[in-house]
Amino acid sequence: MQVPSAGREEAALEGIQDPLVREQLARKLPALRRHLGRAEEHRALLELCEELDELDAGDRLALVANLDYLLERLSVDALRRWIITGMRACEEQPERLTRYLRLEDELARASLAFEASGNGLETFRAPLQFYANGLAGRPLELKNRRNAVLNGPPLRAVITANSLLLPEGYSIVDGTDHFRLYCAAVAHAVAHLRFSPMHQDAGSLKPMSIAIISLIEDARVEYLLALDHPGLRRLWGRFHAPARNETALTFRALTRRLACALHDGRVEDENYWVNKGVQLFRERLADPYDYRAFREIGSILANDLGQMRVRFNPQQYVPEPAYCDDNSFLWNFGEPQPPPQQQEQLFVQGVRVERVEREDGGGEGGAGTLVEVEQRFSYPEWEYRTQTERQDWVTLIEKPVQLGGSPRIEVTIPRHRVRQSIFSLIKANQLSRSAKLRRQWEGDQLDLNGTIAALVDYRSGVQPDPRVFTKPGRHAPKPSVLVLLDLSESTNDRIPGRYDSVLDVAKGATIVLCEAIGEAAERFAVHGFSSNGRHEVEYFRVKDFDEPFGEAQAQRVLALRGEHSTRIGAALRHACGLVSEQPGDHKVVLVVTDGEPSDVDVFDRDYLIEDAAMAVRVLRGRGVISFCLTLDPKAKGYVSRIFGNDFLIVDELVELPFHLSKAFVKLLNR
Amino acid sequence: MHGIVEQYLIKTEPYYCPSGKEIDLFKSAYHLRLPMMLKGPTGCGKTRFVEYMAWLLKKPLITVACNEDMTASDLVGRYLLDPSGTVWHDGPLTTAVRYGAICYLDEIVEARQDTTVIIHPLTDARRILPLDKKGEIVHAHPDFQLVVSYNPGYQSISKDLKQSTKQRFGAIDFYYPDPEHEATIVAHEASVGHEVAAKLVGIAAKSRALKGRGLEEGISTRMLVYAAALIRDGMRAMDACRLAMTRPITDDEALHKALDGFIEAHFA
Repeated sequence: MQVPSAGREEAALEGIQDPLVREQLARKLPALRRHLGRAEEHRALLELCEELDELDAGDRLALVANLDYLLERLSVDALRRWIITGMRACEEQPERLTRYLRLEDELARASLAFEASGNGLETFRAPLQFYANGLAGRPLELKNRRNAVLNGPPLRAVITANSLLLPEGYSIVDGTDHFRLYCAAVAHAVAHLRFSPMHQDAGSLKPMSIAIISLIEDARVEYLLALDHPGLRRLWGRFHAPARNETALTFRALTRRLACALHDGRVEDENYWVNKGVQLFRERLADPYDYRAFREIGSILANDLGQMRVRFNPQQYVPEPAYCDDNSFLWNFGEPQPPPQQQEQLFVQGVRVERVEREDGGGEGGAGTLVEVEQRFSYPEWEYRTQTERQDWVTLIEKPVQLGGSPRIEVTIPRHRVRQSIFSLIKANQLSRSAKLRRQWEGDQLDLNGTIAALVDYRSGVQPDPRVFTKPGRHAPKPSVLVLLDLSESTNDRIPGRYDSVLDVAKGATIVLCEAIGEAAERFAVHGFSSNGRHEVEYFRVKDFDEPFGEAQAQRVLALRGEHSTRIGAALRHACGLVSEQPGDHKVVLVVTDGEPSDVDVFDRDYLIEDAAMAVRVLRGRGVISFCLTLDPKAKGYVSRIFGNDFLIVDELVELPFHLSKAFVKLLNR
Repeated sequence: MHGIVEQYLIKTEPYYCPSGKEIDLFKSAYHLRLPMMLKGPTGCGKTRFVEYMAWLLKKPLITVACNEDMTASDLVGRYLLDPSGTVWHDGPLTTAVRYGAICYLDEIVEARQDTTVIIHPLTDARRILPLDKKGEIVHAHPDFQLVVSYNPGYQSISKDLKQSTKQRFGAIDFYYPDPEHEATIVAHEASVGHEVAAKLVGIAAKSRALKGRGLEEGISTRMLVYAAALIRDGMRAMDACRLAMTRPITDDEALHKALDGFIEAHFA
């Protein structure tokens, strides 16, 4: 576990304004540490505490006093959502908020239980991603949208042409079935993507007009999508329910009533304005594809509201109900364009987190890893221009895998499928008609020699041997396979249409493969490498030949991170040495990489390729087979120079697990 | 026509709704007795098409479902014992070759490669089937044609046809029919209204968008027919779709949730 040292902690606490809170927190932090798994959590908590200035002094202290209890049940992110829920639900009721933060309010307990049961986007990400891709009929990347300020308006989804940013969590105020709420948000987004014109010029439209026109547009696209998906009407309908009891005449209440009435298609509302809206909407449903006609309704209704002197505060307004998006998809506001801004914000956030992670990981060693100390090895490298070997040219350092630091990725690959396929592949390949078992008690065919011998015995009056059959035997090759993962920086690239990186997929594939092979009891190891110049080729033993694959090994795989470059030759030579120590005469190194060899101190493109090719020849000479799975679609040129015919280009990355298992089994039976 | 293969004649017209030129293509290929390969995902109508073509051409159809344990003798025949000694029994392939039938090897990749090579001399200009155990060479009847079906999906990871086998065939690609046709087919096969059929087709279309992104294969037309038949007999649409469509195709919980979402989106 990595935790900031005492000195850094004190410095971090200085960001908190309130001296009382700072003092109490300083006292509590050591005890709280057991609830905070990673360094990021620690930092997130301090950041959260800095933001508590939004609250009353008394409320702040009450909250800090309860931190122990709360963090025992919630992650820091969930705690943050719990506070936001309280602030939203107790708007303009300061006494109730105090009770909420002291956990004396009914809602506080309900919301706590709710957050503790895990209802954020991360919980539902996998099914939602499938749902979004299926409903949109194309890859639609789901991204996380984090609530940056405690006291801000609730977050709404943001739609862009190819991705959908969803709030990382809704609160219990928005509804209790959050999976359905997310589904409703995805369906709403798909409706916009299919039927809404994108980025209409907002021109001189007033904010109120924009809000009302957007609301009408929401109703129109939902109507259109529900034409061939009638069930979606009910899905959306559940979240309109609270609006049915609304009686106030504020802008928020009126628009909620209108949205609900448009959804229900009824005109029985007590309010004239709402009824007028529904009436106009229904009149235009004869041609629901006519965007202009519906936009007109919005203008009329906004105008009416203006005359009714209904107050509108654009800063506080959020579209209702909660599944709606923020409508930035519909408008082009000229200069400061909201959608790119949103993306940029998210991007900056992402980079910041990444950098901090690395800062942390650099200095401190990890505990509980396979290699306790760093070991250094020297390897030669091949200089193709002079056709000579540079002795002791590269320094390879075996390092322990640092646990933590990398968030746990969800392995979205259906494990059982790979497991089944590996299992059946291994078994099927073991069943071999070339290994014929002779002289069997039973079998498919007669063993000619056995039969003749039996007949001879029979005729000469001797008791014949009844074992006269043959049956196919099972090959039991026990090869040693070393899976060598490329951990260079480029493996952090995201895959288009998905929310994970190349490395994430490779990790997932490795875990699934390891679990599957583990059951089939083959000898295999998983190692990884990256390089930072010739003096620092890092090599990680994630799982070794003689250890079983369990939780600890899986943690190590997940903790791997991509950095630096790909100096593959040295890693291959090292792997060769390790695999050669294994018993048996069938040895394989299976390389998984995403690009061509490169390093910071090499400028000749061919140099590392030629060196790697030489390493492969060395391996072959020592009886070790090498095989390369590459994720680079343009790899053919160089990868065939290195590995000859022993490579496979995986262009559809999501299929990596299958190709990996297929390659593995193929190599087993070489 | 020889009495032995007459029993393989298809007497009544099977329902087949063409989605392209496949009927004409197949007719022309049969005219040349070109071996044919029907490629496509499971449950999209390959077998029904062969039945329909056999009916249309008025030729007997001998179908063999291939599997991993099938040996060459299961196809060509073997010696069996009877009171008088050993007698030769033709296998289904030999029967088709000898008496002139269409032999349909369903899911040929399921058979092991050493089994499939026996069709090689049949599928080039020689058109002969050597029975090495019997010491006979059977020359193919003029009416004989070999048709195989083949699913180039995920199966190909573990199993694939050799190039030398593939290159002996003409091929027609099959895919699920377009939504309008597919709904018509489902409505006809399961005797349900077009509206229900169209909803089922809508669900299937969404699942097919997940192919390779979680699902090995989308929901097939055959599954839609099953689900539609259950709905016709009074089962709730949600239950029928789960039973016949979403639960069989995957064991993954996240996918079940998403697929259930699609069902809910179509059936209010």
